[in-house]
Amino acid sequence: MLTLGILHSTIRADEKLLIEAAEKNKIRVSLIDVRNELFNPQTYKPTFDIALERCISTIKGMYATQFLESTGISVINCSKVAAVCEDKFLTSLALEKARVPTPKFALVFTLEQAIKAIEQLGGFPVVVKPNLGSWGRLLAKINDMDALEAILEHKDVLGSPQQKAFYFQQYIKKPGRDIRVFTIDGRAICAIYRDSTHWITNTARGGVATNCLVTKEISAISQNAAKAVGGGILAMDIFETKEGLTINEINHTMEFKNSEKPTNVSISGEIIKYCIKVFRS
Amino acid sequence: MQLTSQCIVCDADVQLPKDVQISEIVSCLECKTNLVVERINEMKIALSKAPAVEEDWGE
Repeated sequence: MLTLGILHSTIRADEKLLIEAAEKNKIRVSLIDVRNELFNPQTYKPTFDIALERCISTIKGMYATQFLESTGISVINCSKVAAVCEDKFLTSLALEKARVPTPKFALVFTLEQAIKAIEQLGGFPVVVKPNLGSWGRLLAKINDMDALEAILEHKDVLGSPQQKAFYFQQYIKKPGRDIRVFTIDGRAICAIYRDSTHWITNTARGGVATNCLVTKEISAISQNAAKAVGGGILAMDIFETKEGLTINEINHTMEFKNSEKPTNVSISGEIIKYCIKVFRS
Repeated sequence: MQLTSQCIVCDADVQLPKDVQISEIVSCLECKTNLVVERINEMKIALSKAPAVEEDWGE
């Protein structure tokens, strides 16, 4: 019987759904809290056949993935996909290279270059985001020069080294919602609208999830975006604009607990089936 | 049977789901502290304070 190692740090409702789905698909689960692991290639003895990376910590998840891959164990998602998706600048570059619609963006290290970048992006407002981060945290919509100076100074003085690489994105005015599409193996399996009166629509920030029909347009852009970053199990955040759909971000260890009910799709079940498929192939 | 443990901050009873797992985060309804399940041993469940959200946490 196949044993799936679920790499985690905390156990969220999402991981419990995965455990339940694994039981339904008759595969064993080995829960691996990466914080308790000792990744020494000379001594490590895995207790599983294939791994699913579900760490809440991006950095710990990446090291665990790279270590296991070095020992010959397949990890979903693989480190190449994770490296692109965990960094918003690298995601934007991958989408740009593959000509997948995405908001205009630029990365700079100084205020002087930031002013030039904002001009190139079409002027204020713009959004500044941490390259590494999630749940809508530390995002700022910058409406004018005063705010720009204040935010960059704060990041420069108080931030970690990563916060000192300033990633700017063109501000996209949304119709009070965005779309999150869940793709597995390049196929959009379901989608939700995330409605919010706030410009940040993450469900972690109060966005309300309702079912969104996967149209041909949604399916096509998701497929192209998945291909651009290397495929696997992904969640795409999509904006609706007058010019059509545009990919905002791509998540590689997505949370889905609030999306199974509105979509009536067992996302956890689809994830487990994909892990079985990867193992058998 | 309802699984319970004690909050390490305020001593209140904390109710736990039947499928509780080690490393799961639960909240104390009394003092609102986030707690993490450290050990499950013959239905005895040990809780400690959950780690604070870190910069690289998320999806």
